[in-house]
Amino acid sequence: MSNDRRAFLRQLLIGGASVSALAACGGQGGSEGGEDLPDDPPKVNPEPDEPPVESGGVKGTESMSFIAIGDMGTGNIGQYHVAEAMRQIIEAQGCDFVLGAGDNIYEDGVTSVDDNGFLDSFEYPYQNLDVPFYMCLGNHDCASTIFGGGSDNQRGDYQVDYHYSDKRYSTKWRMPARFYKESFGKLAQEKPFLDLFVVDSNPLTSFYIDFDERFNWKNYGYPQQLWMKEAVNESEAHWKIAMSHVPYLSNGKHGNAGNLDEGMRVIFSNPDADGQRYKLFLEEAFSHKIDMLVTGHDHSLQWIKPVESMGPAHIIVSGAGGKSDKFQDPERNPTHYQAENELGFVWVHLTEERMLLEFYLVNEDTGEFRLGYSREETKPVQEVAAPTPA
Amino acid sequence: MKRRDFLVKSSAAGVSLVALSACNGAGSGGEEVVTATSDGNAGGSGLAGTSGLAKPAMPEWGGPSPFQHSVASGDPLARQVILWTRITAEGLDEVPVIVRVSRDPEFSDVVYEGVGYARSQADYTVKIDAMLPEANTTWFYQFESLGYFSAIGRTKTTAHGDQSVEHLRLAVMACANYSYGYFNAYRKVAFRRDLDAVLFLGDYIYEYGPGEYGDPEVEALRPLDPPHGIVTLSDYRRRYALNRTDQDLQECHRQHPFICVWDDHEFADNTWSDGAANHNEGEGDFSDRKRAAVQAYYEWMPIRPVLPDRQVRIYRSFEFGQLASLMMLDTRLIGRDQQTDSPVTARDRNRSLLGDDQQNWLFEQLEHSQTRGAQWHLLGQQVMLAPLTLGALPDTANLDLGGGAQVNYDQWDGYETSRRALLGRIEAMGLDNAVVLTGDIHSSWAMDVSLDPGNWFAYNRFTGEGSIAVEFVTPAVSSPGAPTKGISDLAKAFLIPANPHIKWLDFYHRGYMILDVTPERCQADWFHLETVSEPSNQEHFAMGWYTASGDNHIQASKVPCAPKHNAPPLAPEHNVQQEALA
Repeated sequence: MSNDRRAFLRQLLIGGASVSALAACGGQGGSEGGEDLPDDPPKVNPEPDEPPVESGGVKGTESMSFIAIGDMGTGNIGQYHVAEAMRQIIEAQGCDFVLGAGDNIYEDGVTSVDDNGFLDSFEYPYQNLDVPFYMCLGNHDCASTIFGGGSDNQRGDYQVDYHYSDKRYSTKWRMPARFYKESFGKLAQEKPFLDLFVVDSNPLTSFYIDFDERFNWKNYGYPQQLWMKEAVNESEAHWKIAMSHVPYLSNGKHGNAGNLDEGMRVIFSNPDADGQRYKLFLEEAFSHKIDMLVTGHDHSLQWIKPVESMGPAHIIVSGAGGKSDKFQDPERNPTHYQAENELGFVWVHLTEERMLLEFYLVNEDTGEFRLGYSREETKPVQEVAAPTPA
Repeated sequence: MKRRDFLVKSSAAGVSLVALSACNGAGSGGEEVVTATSDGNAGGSGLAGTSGLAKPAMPEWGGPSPFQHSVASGDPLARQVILWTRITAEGLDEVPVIVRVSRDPEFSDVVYEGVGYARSQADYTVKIDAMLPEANTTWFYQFESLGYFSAIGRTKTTAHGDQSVEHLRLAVMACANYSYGYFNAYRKVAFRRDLDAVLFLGDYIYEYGPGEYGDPEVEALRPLDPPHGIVTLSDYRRRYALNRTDQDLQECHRQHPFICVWDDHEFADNTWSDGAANHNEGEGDFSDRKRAAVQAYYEWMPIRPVLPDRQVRIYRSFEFGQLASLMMLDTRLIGRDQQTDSPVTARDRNRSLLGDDQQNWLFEQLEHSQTRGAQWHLLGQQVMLAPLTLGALPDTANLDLGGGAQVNYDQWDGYETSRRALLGRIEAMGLDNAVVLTGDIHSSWAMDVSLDPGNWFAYNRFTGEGSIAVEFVTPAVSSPGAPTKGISDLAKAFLIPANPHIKWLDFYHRGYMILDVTPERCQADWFHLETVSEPSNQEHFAMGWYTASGDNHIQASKVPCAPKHNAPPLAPEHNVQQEALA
C-alpha cells in the first residue's frame, strides 16, 4: 500500500466524514473498555471526549436513533448499496450512530492496523455516512482462512488498535476494546439514556480451536462474562442494548445458541461450537436486564419475539449488511418479521417509553430499497421503582 | 447475664415465646417451621421485652412419654439450627412443645427457649428454627411437653463465612433400607464425637412393600410398616415413623445435625420430575404421590425450607467458615427430565438433570464461593457425576458421539448437556478444589472428574493431569451392592482399566464415608461394616483417598485421618430432668 493512496483517500473522505464534523455529532459519551479484567482501569480514548448532546443540562435526551447492520464488510457493490440506502434514511429520519454487529472485514479480517481491509470494507463503502459506527468482532474478523473458522482471535486486536490509530481515514470506527460498554445521551441525575454492551462472541463459539491460550474460556470467556454481568448490573441507563455477533436465537443456518450450526458442526473442532456456554453467558449477563439484543452471523433480517429465558428483550438478527442468505427453519423461533435472501438493515428510534423499528430491504443489484416492516413497541424492561428507605 | 441479654434481644427481635406462639398459631395447616425473623415482625402480637418464659397451657395427659421418635437437628447455620421432635399422644392435637438449648448437657446455661405446636396437619411433628448466640459451637437441646422431657440432643452451629476453620469433619451417608439390614452404620457414626454434621445424600426410606426389596431374614425381624408399598401421605408418614423407631438412627440424629437431600426412594424408584419407574397408573396421579412424599419429607426430616411456599425446592447451600462451601443439589426431582436408555437422547441438548433455575443457582453459588475465597467447594448430591462406561473413549461433542459405552442413564451419564454445563463452568472459572459427594449407587468409589476422561490428550490416568474436580461416592447404610465380595472384585478388575478416571471401587460393603477437610487437603475415608444382617459394631477402615489443595485429582491414603482434638462430649444417655420428675 502506498502513502499516495492513503493521502488520496484521506482527501476524498474529508468531504464526507471530516474529523471536525464528527466531533460535533459523534458519540456522546465515554467508552469503557472491557478487554482487561474488571479491576483494571478502562482504556482511555486518546481523542478528546466530545461534548454531550444536550446543552445546559436543563433538558435531557428525548430520543435517539440508530441503525443496526451486520456481516457487512464485503467491499462489494451490495455493501455500497446498503450504505447508500442508510444515507438516505439517515438524512430523512436521523441517526445518532450505527451498530456494526461483526464480520466487519471479510473474509479473514485484517493483519495490521494499516491493512487495506479497513479501507475496502469500511471507510470507502461508508464514506458518505457521517455517524460513528460502534463495531463488534465477528468470526471472520478473527479468522485465518476465508472459511471464517475463528481460530485466530488475535487478529481482532488490530480492529481495536484501529480505533486508537491516528492514521485512520475517518473517526467513524469505534471499537475501544474487544468487548466494551458505551453510554449515550443523558437523562435526569446524569443517567445515560442508553447503554450499549458489546460482546466478543468469537472466542466463545469459534468453529475451530484457537490454540492461543489468552482466548480460552478460562482466560477470556469467563472473565468477559463476569465483566459483562457487572457492567450490566451497574448500569443506570434507561435503555440497555446488547450487541454480539453470534446469535442467541436465529432462524438462519447458524441457528440458536446451544445448538449452533447443527448440521455443520461435525466438521468443527471446537467443542464450544454449539454455543452452550455462550448461551448461558448471554442469559446470565443479560436476561431480564436488557431491552434489545442485536446480533448478526446469519445473513438475514429477523425480529424474534421475546423468550422466557432472555426475559422481555426483543431479539434482532441484522446480518444482511453485505451478504444475504436463506433461512434454514423459518419456524424455529417465532418472529414479528423476517426477511431472507435480501440485503438490508434495521433503523431503530427510541423515546423514553417506546421503540420503533423499521426493517429496510435493499436490492443487491440495483440498490433500490424499500421499507419491509415497521412496528412500534413499548419499552420492554420497565424500570423498577427504587425502594424507599424505611 | 449473657443468657438474659440474649433472651431480651431475641424477644425484642420477635422470637419471644409469646410472639412465637402467636406467630405459630396464626399459621395454616401443613408443615410449619417457626422462623425467627430479624426485622421484628414475627407476626401476631409479640410482647417486646418479655424475657420470662410464659409457659403455654398443657393439655391433660396420663399416657407414656410422647417422645417416641426421639429428637433430631439439621440444616445448621452460623446462628440457627432446626430442632425436631414428634409428639405421640393419641387424642390430642395442637400440643405445645417447649425446647431449650444450652451450652452444656446439664442445661445450666440455657441460651434459647422456644415453643412449637404438634399438630395433626404436620403429623404431630414439631420443628423449631432456634436462634443461637454463637457460630461454630456445640449445643445441647431438649424438648418438654405433656409433663415429659425428651432425650437430650446435641447439635452444632457452623462457622461464619468469614471465620477461619482449620478442620472440618463430615459423615457422608446414603441409602438406608430398613428391611435390607440393620442400621449399624448410623450407630457407628453416632459415636463419632468430632463430626461437624452428617450429610445424608438420599434414599432415607424405601417405598417398597414386604418381599419386594429386602433381605427376607432381616425383614422377618424388621417388618415393614405400612405392610405394603407406600403411595399416600399416611403411607409415607408411617414409613418415616418406622425408620425413626430404629434406635441406631435415633442415636445418630440425637448426636449430630443432619444436612439431607432426597433421592428417588423418598418417592419411588428412579423418580424424575413428573414420574418414576416404580409408579403405575393404578397408584394414582404421580403429582399427588409426589406432593404426599414431599410433605412427609418436610414433616419428618430436620430440613429448613428454602422457600416456605415451595417445599419442592431442596437445593440450598451452607458455609463452613472460610474452609468450605457446601452446595446440596436435587438431581432427582425438581428439574430432571425423564430417564432415557439411549446414548443419543442422553446427549439431547434440551434435556436437563438440574433444570435451568437450579443450574443458574448452582453457578451463582460457585461464583460466590470462589469470590469469597472458600478453600473447598463441596457438592452434595445423589447420582454419579463421572461417567461409568464399559470402555471409555474420547468424547467428540460436535459429532454427538464418544465417551464410551455408558451403562447407567439414571446418573449424569444420561444428561450429557447438564454435565458439560457444570464441568464446563468449573473449567471456565478455573475453580480449584471442587469435591463432589455422591450416594445412590450402594457402593464406594473414588474418581477424578475430567471433561473427557477417555481422551489421552485431555486426561492422563497416571498423573491425574486434566482432572478438574474429584468425586467420592459413599456406600449404602444397608441397601445391597454386589451379592458377594468375589463379584465385586471381578467388576472392579474390569471397570477400573475400562474407566481411566476411576481409581478405586467396592461394590460389596455397606458403610459410610468420613470427609476430613483441612486447608491443605480434602480426604474421604471409607469405613466398611462387617455385616448388616445383624446388629454389630464391627467396622474397618477400607481406604482413604484425598486431593491436595490445588491438585484437582486424587491420591490414595493407607491411613485414615486423625480425629479432631478436644471434640465435645456426646449428649448423655441419662435424661436427668425426666428422672427428677419420676
